[in-house]
Amino acid sequence: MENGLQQIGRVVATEAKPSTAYSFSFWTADDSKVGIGTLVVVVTEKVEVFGVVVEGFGFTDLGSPLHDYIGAEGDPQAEPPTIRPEIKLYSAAVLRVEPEEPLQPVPIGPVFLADDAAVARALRMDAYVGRSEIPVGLYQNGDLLAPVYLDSEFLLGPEAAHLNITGVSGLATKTSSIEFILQSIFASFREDVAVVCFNVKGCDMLFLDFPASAPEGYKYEKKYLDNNIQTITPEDAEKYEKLQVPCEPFANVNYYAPYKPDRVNLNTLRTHPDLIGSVKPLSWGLKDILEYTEVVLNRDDVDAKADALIQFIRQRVFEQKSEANGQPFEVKNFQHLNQWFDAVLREMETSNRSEWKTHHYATIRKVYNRLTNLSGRYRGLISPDEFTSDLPWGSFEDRGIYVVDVAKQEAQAQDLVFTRIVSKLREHLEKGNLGVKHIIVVVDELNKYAPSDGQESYLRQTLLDISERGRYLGLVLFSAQQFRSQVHKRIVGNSATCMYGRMDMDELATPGYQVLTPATKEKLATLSKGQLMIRHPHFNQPIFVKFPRPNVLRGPDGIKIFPPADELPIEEAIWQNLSRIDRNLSRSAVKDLVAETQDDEEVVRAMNITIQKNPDDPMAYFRRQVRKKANLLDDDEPPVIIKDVDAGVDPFEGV
Amino acid sequence: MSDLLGNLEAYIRTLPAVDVRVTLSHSPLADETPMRAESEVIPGGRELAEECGIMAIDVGGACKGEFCCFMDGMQRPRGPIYVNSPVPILYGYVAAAIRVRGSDRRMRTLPGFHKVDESLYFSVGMAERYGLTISGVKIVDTSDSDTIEHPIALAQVAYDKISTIRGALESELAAKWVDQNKGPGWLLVDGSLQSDYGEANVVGVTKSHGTQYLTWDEQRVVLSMKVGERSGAFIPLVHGRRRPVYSWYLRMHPSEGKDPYFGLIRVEAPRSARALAMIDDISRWILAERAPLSLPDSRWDKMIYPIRDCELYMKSLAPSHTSLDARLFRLSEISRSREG
Repeated sequence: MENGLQQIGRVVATEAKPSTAYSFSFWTADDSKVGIGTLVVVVTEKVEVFGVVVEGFGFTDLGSPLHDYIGAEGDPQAEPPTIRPEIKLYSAAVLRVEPEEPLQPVPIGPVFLADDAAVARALRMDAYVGRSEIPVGLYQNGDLLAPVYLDSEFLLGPEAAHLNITGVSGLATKTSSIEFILQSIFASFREDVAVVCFNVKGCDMLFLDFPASAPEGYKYEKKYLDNNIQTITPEDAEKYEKLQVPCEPFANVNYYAPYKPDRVNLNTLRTHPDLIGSVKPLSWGLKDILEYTEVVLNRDDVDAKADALIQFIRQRVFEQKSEANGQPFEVKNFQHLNQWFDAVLREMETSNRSEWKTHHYATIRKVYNRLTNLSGRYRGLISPDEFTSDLPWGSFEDRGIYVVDVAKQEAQAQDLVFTRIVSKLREHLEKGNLGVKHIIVVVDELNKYAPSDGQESYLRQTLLDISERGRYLGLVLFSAQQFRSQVHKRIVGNSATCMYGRMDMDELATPGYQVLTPATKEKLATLSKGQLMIRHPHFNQPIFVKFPRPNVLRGPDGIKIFPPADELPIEEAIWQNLSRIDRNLSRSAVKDLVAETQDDEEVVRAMNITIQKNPDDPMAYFRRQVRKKANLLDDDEPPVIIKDVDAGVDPFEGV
Repeated sequence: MSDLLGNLEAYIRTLPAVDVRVTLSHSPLADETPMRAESEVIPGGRELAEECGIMAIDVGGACKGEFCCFMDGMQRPRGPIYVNSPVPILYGYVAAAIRVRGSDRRMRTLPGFHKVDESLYFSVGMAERYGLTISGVKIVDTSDSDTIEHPIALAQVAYDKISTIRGALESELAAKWVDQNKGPGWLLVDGSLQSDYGEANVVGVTKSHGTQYLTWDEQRVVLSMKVGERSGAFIPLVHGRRRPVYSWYLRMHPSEGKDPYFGLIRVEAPRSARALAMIDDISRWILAERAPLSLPDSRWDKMIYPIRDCELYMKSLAPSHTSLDARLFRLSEISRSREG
């Protein structure tokens, strides 16, 4: 053909099934490479129409199945001398028409398979490729592998934003597609961007810094081989090349996990001795929690009176000089707060007054009870002392991934982690001091965290807030779930880009999928790994693409190679944690000191303070902290030199 | 396909005074207007070709045969149109095609074996008497000194002529096929064999039984034949003349409880000793063509599937009933618009 395209069919229109401006039918030869999702072009002298095949029909001139049965004398093996002509008729939805005006029904004309250039035009990618394209996968038709790009202005803002992916567990490629698109964003996005991943189940996101297959000479090559880890195939490598995305694991991944209740062992599956050093504790103190009390306190508890008291504590008590029962206070942590509450209540009881600074005794008692319980309820996440370890607010790095492992946290703790981190992200983005201009928040199991029905929660409200207002700030939500129909409509509705992996037929039967043809639904129900259907503002119709397996170690494979370590005894865990800042720390010295102190709370506090202060001589500082509290300090103990912690030095960095 | 009706319209528009009347079809999907030969029983005769006479003979069941090509013809008459005269003008589209069955058992048109003709059929002499000299379109003159000068009779002559032209197209194709094919494959023709094909591998299958070749008693034998049975062969006589074929009846489908002609066809093969010896084989080959059924065609009991395929092929390329009727309607509007 003159246009260099391969003709595969002809448009047909009948009175019963006419062409419209948005759909048309065409038949093809028996051996044509057309299937559901194939992109085609109708070319006439006046117009070019790009379409995507959404339905297929095959039929003969047989009027009734009975006629075939009678003709074969009921013998299924009978071979009639003539085979009835069989037509393959396809319905296509219009993606684009050139020229766009006047918009008329698709004309009768030859139908061609789309090539690379036609794919780009069909999907209107010519408007943004070279300016803001993000490779998302490859449109495949036979031997043709044409790159498909998303527009970053519609994926990461400001025009539109957010990505939602849905599909059944295990086969839907939800995690891997998000991993790949993050790799792609890192490779192609022209502005700075970082990612916060909430690992909400298992170990999905815990090995992003390891390759899917071990290169030759790799440190863990033998372990990969011993565990029969699947490698990146040459087909995958070809796809990476076509998409111009480096086939590499993420270079800058930072892991965070709260402690277990013992406050020395991290509550994560990434506890293999080779890896635990790269996981930083996520630990918040009173200051961090006071702003989010509504999240962690029962909604019924925080009535107007309780809220007023909490406000009072925030404004007049926390980190301020105050007085209660004649005692001076400067509340800095939960322990101090307990003491303060005790003093207030004692003062009221002594003076026989039912109110203290307009706050009623019962309200004070209730807030005391709820607040001081927090460090017990969220032990491991909320620190009773001043120790805090948090995400690097203000110094997020471009192309950095910050994985927050909350998989082992109870629901309310997860709520707190999500809400606080997202609120802090928003706060910093508003002020422009996060360190990057764009942040992507990755959340799986969205139907659990933002269900379409059920009680209102702060987390759901937070997610709604991101989806509705985040794009203006550069705060983008990449969310995933099994059942899109069970997610809050405004969240999925605000996701400009939606991806669908293999779907459950029950889910496809829900009203949200009514716009899809039966064939498209059937295809969705049988998609294999690495295949997705994508909706994007530039694409008039959903498009099927394939993407390569991300070059990242899958969670289950990571667990095989790096099995989690057993929970360590306190003295061992303390030595291991202190070793982060001093690799030559004597194990026996730490052990002896812990044994000598006989106060686990105190040694943990001392450990955390030591890690936080990062002194030149950690053992000496640690000993001093323990002894100071336990009144074991000798007067002639030499002073400990503290590094300038405000200089932006992260004590966990480089461990 | 030519724009014959368009050209006719252009011609009519050149006439200074116009009175155009058109008979639009009442049943727009009907192609075949019943011809006299099909609506009336024509007496014929027969000369027995086998010693057994006209008796029911079991041919021994279906057997995959040597049929590789199939021929059918079609005609799509429209009208009559009257232009400034009571002389009926018929539009006629005729076609004939031979389709070949490949080793994949699929049907394709044999290259060069699809012929079409589109003409106006009327008595030129009579039209000229009314001052009508149509030019710029293909015309078939149906003038016949025996015809009564009556519009209905003239229209019937034109209809008959359309059938004749279709037959001529079929004969032309069949002759060409015979000329080019000397191999083992056979051509099955829908209808009677129009020529003497000598030793050629050609068979005709007739679905209509309007000509009475057999005696009443022989007809009773034929009509009571069971499925898979044939009659004894005979040489058909028309107007006392021996046709150059051997013919026999064959029951394709059981007719018990149905019309006695249900599933009954008449087969013709060239009048050669070779064909006479092959009558049972040819019958078995035809029986094998019963599958697939030609349903939903109403003639499925007598029509083999490849013939239906030929018919569908030709119809798919013929001008549609709707477009023809629309063209004729435009003609009828010419005089009205002039008056306006």
